[in-house]
Amino acid sequence: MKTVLVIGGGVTGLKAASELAGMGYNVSLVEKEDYLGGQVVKHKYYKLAPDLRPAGDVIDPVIKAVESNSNIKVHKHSRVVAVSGNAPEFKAKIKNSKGESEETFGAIVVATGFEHFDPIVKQEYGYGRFKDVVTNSEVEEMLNPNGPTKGELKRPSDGKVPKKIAIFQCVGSRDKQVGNPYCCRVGCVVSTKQAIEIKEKCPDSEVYVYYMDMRMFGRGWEELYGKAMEDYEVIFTRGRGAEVTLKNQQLSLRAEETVMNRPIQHSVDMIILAAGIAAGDGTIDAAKVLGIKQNDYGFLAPKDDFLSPNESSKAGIYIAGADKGPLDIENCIVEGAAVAAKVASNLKN
Amino acid sequence: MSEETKNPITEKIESTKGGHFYKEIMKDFRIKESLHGCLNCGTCVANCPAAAFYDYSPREVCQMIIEGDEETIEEYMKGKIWNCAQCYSCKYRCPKENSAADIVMAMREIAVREGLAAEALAGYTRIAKLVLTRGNQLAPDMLSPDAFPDWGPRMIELSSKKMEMREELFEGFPGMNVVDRAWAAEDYTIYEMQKIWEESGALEKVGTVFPFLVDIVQEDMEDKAEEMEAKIQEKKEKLEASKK
Ligand SMILES: Cc1cc2nc3c(=O)[nH]c(=O)nc-3n(C[C@H](O)[C@H](O)[C@H](O)COP(=O)(O)OP(=O)(O)OC[C@H]3O[C@@H](n4cnc5c(N)ncnc54)[C@H](O)[C@@H]3O)c2cc1C
Ligand code: SF4
Ligand code: SF4
Ligand code: SF4
Repeated sequence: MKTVLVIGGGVTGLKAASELAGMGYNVSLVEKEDYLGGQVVKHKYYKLAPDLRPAGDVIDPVIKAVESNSNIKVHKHSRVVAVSGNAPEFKAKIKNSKGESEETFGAIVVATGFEHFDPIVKQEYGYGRFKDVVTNSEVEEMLNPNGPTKGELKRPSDGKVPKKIAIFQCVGSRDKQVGNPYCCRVGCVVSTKQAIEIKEKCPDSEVYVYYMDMRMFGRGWEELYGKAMEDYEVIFTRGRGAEVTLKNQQLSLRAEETVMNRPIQHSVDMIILAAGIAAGDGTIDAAKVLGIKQNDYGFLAPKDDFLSPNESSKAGIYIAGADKGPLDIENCIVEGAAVAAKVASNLKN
Repeated sequence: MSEETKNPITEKIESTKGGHFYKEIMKDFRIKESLHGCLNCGTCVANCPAAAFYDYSPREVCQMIIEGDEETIEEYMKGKIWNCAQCYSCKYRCPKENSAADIVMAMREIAVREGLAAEALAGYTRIAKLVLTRGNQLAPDMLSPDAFPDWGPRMIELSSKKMEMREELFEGFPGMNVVDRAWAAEDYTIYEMQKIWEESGALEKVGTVFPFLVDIVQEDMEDKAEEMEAKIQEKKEKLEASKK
């Protein structure tokens, strides 16, 4: 029985590893950080869209399924630094602080995920200059009772609870100026979820979402959007956040209210940037080490988007999850299972 | 549907794309580089100084060209496009890398060519006259708060004192201490400038918008011609002599 190498211990890689182990394969899981769970754990996601279910309900069982399976060897704080050979016999060098080891694998699964777009690039939003302009992943950490503010929503500048909050959609997405014309696919549902969570915590706060389109295509997303408007009185303004300035310690934003055809300035206490999804260094590094194709934005390119979505440009190397492009957790789990099935059937033949 | 039963409200929906002005605009090389679809996101409008003070919108400019309705285009060429300050903020912020600024510039040129600009530019008659007859475009006595709705309180205060300030600043500089122009250029310089306009065809173009200004300039030139031509001749001779 062959051994499979899985690179990346986010939800996708974890699901792939436990499915393969369940089919009787031995798996080595290589994760560069010293924890499993990927972005969900890194940014302490508290509740998941669209059901507002605690993230732990989903990610903990997926991690446990890996850690409790004796067919899976987990290498934390490790990197794959070199790969040689061809399908179905690859030799991979795995490196960590203690040293290097070499193992032989029948197949490789790449599940290296994404990184958040760094909004410092969009200078006009003032991220990095104005303390109360924060990203949506920073808000995830804030809303989590185990996070830095113990679950309280506080302005970073003075620790006060913000009364007026604006959320900017599509930051670093759908934007040729930063080279990312694609849609981040999760920003809309995540902002809607965060708006509801903020309203639940502080019912007399005002939450404004500045958007171009609310892209609510997932299971239960459109219903969540309806709930935000009807039950929580979140205000959705159709116009993209254009600029942020600081006047007398007060944040002021500019946008056009496109439905009313008028430019506006709006004073708020805090601005949340729905930062987009970019191919992370981890994914770019893996593509280099393995010699597999990337698309124009650095994400991993399938051999054929329709017909072989989980195969890379190289035989025996498979790809899955958010390293192929923006994807939500539900679909990452589907991807993890799908790639495991593909690997298993190919190794059998 | 027959002509008589047309609904006056929805009638516009019937496209009139592809008219003469539309075709002229689309021929300009700048359009292809300045319009790549539009998200209707309003980023351009939010950053546009003209949109903040006038009934004007760079987003509308882009949408108008995409829709291509001849009547609307004509209306814009006669009016709204002349509100743009050509600051290019729209271009450097647009997520589709559009440039309403360049579209407007192309449309202005066409509007002048097609004789649509006269009314919109009527308010600039004084400026045009000043440029053509004095060589500079703004005079201190033209700067007043009612002409500049975007001025803040500081600018208004300064403007009320501008005459005294100029007197103090330019004491002993005769060419500068004037209020009906920014500074007084020499007659010879002005004559030379006017000759360039005449010979390059620029004056003729100005004539499509301000026909009477052409007469004023030509009269102005005629008045000075004898003296100035003599001066030119004198300069030429000096130049020749220095070559020998
Ligand atoms: C603010 C925010 C909130 C979100 N909330 C929701 C939500 O409520 N519901 C929902 O469905 N989705 C949500 N998402 C989407 C969700 O985060 C992703 O679907 C999911 O994290 C992708 O999982 P993944 O395993 O493919 O990638 P990742 O989570 O990025 O995991 C990849 C792992 O691979 C590791 N790695 C990378 N490179 C290497 C390398 N070269 N070598 C070794 N290891 C490597 C990384 O350290 C990481 O642990 C949200 C996204 C954002 C931005
Ligand atoms: S998912 Fe929403 S926030 Fe993200 S890029 Fe698409 S439209 Fe913008
Ligand atoms: S160039 Fe014109 S349209 Fe563009 S932002 Fe400046 S004033 Fe507005
Ligand atoms: S910024 Fe660009 S995409 Fe957005 S409305 Fe203006 S022209 Fe259209």
